[in-house]
Amino acid sequence: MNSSSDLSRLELQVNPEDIPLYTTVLQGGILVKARAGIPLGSFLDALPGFNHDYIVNVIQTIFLDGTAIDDLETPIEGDHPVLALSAAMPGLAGAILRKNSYHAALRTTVTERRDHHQQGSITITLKLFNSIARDCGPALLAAGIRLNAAVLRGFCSTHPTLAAGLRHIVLDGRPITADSMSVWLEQEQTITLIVREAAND
Amino acid sequence: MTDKIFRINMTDLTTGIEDVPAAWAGHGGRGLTSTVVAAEVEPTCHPLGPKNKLVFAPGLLSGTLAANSGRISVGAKSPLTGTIKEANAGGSGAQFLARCGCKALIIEGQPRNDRWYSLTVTPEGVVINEENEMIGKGNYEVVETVTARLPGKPGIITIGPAGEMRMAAANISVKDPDGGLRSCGRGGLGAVMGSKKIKFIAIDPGDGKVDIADQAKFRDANRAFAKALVDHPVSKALGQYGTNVLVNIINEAGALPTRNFTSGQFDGHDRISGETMHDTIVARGGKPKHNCHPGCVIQCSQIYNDADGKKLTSGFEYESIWAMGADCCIDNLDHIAEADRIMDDIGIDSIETPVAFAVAMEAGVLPFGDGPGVCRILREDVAKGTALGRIIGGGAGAVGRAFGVTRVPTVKNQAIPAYDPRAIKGIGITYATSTQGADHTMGYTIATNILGVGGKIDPLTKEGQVELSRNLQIATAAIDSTGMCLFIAFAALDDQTCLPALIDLINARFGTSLVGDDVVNLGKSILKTERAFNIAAGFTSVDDRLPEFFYTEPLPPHNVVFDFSGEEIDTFWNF
Repeated sequence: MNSSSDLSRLELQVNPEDIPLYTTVLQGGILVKARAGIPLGSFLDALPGFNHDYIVNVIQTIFLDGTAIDDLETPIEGDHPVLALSAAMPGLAGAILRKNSYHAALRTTVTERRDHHQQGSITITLKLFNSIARDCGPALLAAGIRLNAAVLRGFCSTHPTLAAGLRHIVLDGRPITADSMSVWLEQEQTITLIVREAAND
Repeated sequence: MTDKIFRINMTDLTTGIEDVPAAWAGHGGRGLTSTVVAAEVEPTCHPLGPKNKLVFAPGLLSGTLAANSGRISVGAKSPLTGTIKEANAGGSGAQFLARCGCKALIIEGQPRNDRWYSLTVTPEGVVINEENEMIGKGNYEVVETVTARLPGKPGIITIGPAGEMRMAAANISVKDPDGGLRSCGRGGLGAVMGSKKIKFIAIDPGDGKVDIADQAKFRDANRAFAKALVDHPVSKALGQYGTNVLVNIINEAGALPTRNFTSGQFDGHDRISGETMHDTIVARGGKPKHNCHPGCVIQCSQIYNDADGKKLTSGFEYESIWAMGADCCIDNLDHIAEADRIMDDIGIDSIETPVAFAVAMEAGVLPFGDGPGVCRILREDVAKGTALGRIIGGGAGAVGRAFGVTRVPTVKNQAIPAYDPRAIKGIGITYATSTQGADHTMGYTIATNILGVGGKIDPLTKEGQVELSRNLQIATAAIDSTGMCLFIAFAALDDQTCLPALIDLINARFGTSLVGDDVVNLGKSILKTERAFNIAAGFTSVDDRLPEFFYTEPLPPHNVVFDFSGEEIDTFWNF
């Protein structure tokens, strides 16, 4: 669902214990195509690793274009919508921003700028934070995600030791080295990334 | 062991043990420090003079096996804000003081000479010792040397060079179970300890134990209380990522103050986020989960190692990482961690100081993003007390005044922490009206509905929003008066068994019959006591305001301003 045939496909085959660490790449945002105006809950429900109960009960903090959202029926619209998901967060700010919070009145109201008549498809930037990334990330990564190469470059720079655990790197069906991958990433804009457990050699 | 007041007079170098006045018996933590300061300190006194008093108080349940009961509160008139002040920390100080039978340690007066002293607290009382070896030393060396010097494993409360130099941002550090440091950070209370010429306090409880009136009831209540804490999803998030889990969320909300509060989002947020920090800690063999005091079941602390796997810092908190990170535009976690360690060693607040640096960056003292420059100035200027170091050690307000910067994010001269009030206006009301200067923890507890102090006015009106904020502060003051870790607040919000279990714990400990209303009334009473002190010290409603730029400079990306008028804010005190 996330991969696209016109993009290069980078597949990282890694040790199973490293899979959770790769889910941190999702904090930088992945690109997901969807129908304009799709309700937020429906959009999430269709993603690998998500289900209705999880969306309702575990995803407690939702931002759409930086605005805290309470209603899962909220349509996703706009040229470049950004959707971010988190578990319940600490502190007064966490409480104020939480979905359907008793303290939601203490949020700052941001002027809405939504076009409710948008047609066709849109590309949503989806960010997964904290335990949401850990819970849902492995399935998304295994299915393949589309992201800006800069996001993966940034992730690699903050996770330098992960390279040692890479068992195989495959670019468009051909094995490459970690060094080649770094060079290649510098030249790319948007890629498809797959991260999965390496088969036993 | 019966609780007593331990009193130390540093003018004539005498100590004494007193019975607890009946009016103080129901207080612990902030409730007790504020009650004592309000009762015994002249509000107009100089905070660094002999008339100020420094009060240490464990929580009501400290020294017992109650979960998350090991916070120690310190109170005085603040040299930073001029208001009444309480700051608290983990570590073993609270548990050990309570096991000494010490309900509060009150330090008054001031030596007439230039000598420095230390205190040793045992169940028998307090001994004052002249101290030479540790003067001028950093907190880490104090903890290491004093631990080796004294028998057993004493609790240690200490100040670093910043406290000795009476810098307004100096903190008081408490040794944690692993020999690390926990800080009573805000308001410059380390300077008050320095003004009393006390370098450190060693606490040896020996075999001392805390009396429990009803052991069986206490055990049952503690089981229910701990379960509510452990099961709560926020506790789980805190345990996995620490408080720094908030970087991504607050950034996404456009409320992460960046580049001295000129933007609400930081491009380097994912390089300093809790998620990235967690992975870095794991990769380097640190501890992503760690307790700051014995008995903590949430374990939101962590041990952060450097690239060589050597411990760099612990208790690496969101507010410190935000302040040195986004506000100073430093996107390198290792630089931030190094600065955090230096600040801990110098004994200076890791919120006030980085915010002061951000103001200094705006003034051109050093560039935004200069992590090595910050560490250099901390080591060569702040630690050594050069003119620049003393200005930065005086806090964000001092830097603004020295360099003529108008964008100075303070309320009552205390730096505003990690949530921009333009993007989350409810927090702005708390910053403005807090009795202790801008402080994110003053309206932290969110159990208003369970405590029965939820709003009665439409929360979508400004009047309703002020009421909601007021009730948050009342609830917080109530929880603070128990001396419990503030992070119990999350479970208290959502789990109907949590607060009743806490009240059961207190009743089982003291043989009392408190109910929820008593706790609420305690919160109101503490807020009013603190407010009365401030008014007597010369504060007025005009001090309950955010700096001008929050009203006039729209904050990107949402381009919002804070829009509560002074009159609307003033309704906060209508109770």
